Amino acid sequence: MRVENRKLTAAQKIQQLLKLENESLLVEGEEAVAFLNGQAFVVDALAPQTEFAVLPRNGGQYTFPKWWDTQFVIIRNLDAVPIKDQEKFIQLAENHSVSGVSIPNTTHIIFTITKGNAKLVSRRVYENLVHVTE
Amino acid sequence: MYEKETFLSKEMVLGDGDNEYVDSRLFNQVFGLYCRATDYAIAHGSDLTWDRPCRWWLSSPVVDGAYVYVVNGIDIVNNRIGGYCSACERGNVAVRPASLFSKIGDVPPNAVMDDDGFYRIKVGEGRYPQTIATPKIQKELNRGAGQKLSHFFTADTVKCDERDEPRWTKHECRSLNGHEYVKVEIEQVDGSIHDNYFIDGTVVDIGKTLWFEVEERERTVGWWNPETLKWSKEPEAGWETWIVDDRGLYAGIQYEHEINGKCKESDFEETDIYKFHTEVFIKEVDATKDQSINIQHAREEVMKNIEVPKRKSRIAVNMGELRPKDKFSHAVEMGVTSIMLHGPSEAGKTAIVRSTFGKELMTSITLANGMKPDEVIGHGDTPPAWYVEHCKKCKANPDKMCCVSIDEVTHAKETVQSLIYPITDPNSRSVVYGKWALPENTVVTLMGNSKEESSDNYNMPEALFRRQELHIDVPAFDVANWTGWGLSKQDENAKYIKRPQVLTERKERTNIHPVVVAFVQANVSTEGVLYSSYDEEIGSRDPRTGQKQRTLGQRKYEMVSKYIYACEDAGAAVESSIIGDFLGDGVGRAFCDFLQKPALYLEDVLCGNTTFLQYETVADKIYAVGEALNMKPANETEKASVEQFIKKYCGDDYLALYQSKSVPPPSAAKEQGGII
Repeated sequence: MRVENRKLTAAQKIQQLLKLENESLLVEGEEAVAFLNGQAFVVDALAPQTEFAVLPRNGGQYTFPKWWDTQFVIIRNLDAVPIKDQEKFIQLAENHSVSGVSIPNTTHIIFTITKGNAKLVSRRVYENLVHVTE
Repeated sequence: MYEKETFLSKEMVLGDGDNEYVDSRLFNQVFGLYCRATDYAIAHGSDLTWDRPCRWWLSSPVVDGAYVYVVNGIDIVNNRIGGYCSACERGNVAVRPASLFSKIGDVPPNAVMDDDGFYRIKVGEGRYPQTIATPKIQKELNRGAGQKLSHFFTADTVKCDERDEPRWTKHECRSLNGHEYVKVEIEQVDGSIHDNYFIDGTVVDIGKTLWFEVEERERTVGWWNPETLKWSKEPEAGWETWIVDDRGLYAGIQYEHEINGKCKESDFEETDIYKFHTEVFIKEVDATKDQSINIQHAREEVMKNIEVPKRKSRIAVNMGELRPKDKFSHAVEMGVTSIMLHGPSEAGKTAIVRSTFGKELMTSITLANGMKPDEVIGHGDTPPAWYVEHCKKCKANPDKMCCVSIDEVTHAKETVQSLIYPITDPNSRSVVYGKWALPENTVVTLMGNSKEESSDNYNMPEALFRRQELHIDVPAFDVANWTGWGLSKQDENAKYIKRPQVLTERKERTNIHPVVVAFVQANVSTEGVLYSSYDEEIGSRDPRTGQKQRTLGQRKYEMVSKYIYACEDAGAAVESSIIGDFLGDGVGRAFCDFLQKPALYLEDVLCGNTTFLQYETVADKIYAVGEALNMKPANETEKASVEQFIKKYCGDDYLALYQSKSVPPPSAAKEQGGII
């Protein structure tokens, strides 16, 4: 197997990793995903619960997150959410599903945190992510 | 002495004096209809040309002594005198009086071995000549090979036309390669008009001298099918099959029903067969007993085994330990529909569920603090999204089990955990109580871990813990399991569990399996068996002792019963490790031991084969009644036999219990125009 021994920037690594199907990434530093501007839907991790759930409402209708139909979703500031409250991201990271419903069109979910804050990510979420650093 | 040595009692042969002959039905039930002759018996005149096996011979002298009564159409009888009974024209047959089946346990046995599923009991009566030696051995012995032994074996060799006192002939004995053989000159069969055959198919050549091997006397507990002339391990439906002894005919003994003109019932002790037994046979077989064996010890060993023969265990139990993944899939296959997996993060809990169901049959939700309850339990008239998704999968795959997996249960506060009570409760199985029922082919799987495994965990409320039918512990990184999964092809990962029959077809049987009722009954006063308390701090396993914590109660035993019925339906063994997960280590072990006590089948009841069964305790009596209720006798006669059995072994109170719970057999229901 051929092995390249060269240094890649975080952005280059992310570009490589986006070739992997349905993998979720954890990126330190938001600037590394700047190349996705315009293609990705950015949502703050501190956004209301409705952004990370499919919720029923009257009349047999459901409310879906705004990003539901986009291919790339960037969830920023994961480290700002207390560890105990990060469970809502587990299914996103692990199964690409929300509230038991598979996300139809999103192929990649990228969580961003401030550089050096990986320890503020819940282990349960972290174990399902590919952690990208410089 | 003869009775103790498994010979028939006088009463068994001649009846109790009130009847003209022994009740054939009773006889058949106890001994079976058929038996097989030894080659040694054939060499001395037993004629088995028609069938290799023959029916037991049983006669009863009548007052005038003129002829032999033949019981139940038994058509091969000894007739040394010959001629006064049409049934005797078939030839002269040496007949071995049956051993009392119920007395097997009283006989000091030499050994027990399980041979191809048959339960052979060497009854310890010593050895006696039985089977013809192979041609090669015949040649060697005729050349003088081996060593001449000092003792002899005797056979009743009175010629068929002799009416004098029996003349017993002794046969010389040689030892070769550790085996013992006797030399016999083949007897003329009086009145024989056809060829006679040994068991291996060799024609009996009158006057020729042949060698016969001296063997342990064995009894085989099995079923003889008179149609196929084959033995089977289990009773075959549709045939008249009975428990029998395949070495039925006594080697070389011929029954003289009449001696010196006396054939009254009181004359049994004067018959040839009695004389031969007491004066010759018992002494000879006694002499061949292995005196080195501690009879008492051997008997205890055998009785121990008799109580737990494989075929006769109440339930087949696999005592091996299963890996968590195998436990999980086995439990789902057997109809367990509410399971919780416990284990540290990254132990592979989700992988177990996913590899069992595949992504397409699995719907996952995660509990989280701060989540909107609507996400789990719906809003107004709108069910939660996961429920709709899951119902679609269940509808598209009606013959497969689909899974709702609820993750991070213990990461959520107790108030959040309480949202899933109705989902996991086997008695509810709906999103909220009474609303949005889960499809029948649903398995609900919870995943979580203890505070020891994750410090930010919350305790699991007792009510939720108790609602899980099964708790399975998953150790951190099960390498063997992971390796197996890693090396399987991607499209083979999901096993797809077919919907168990138990969910689709309810059978007529007791609500709770009789063995579970009996176990509970047997442990009414045993601490921690009927109900065990719950320590929220401990979770599924006590970190200090390593012991599993399981909450026992009515619901848990109902689940165990369901599991056992499902295993029976599927013809699968009960897994002891899963029983341990249901009931905890200690009680689970005790329950598995209990399962291995002898079972009771309808065939046993009809055959009167209750040798290995003991109904001394209330629990055993309840078990017997429960099994009897599940037996479904085919007609009133069979039902009467079952009732007679319950009355005899359990008493009138339990007979009343049986009668109050039983339904009429199909034939009776038809006659009454009832619903079957």
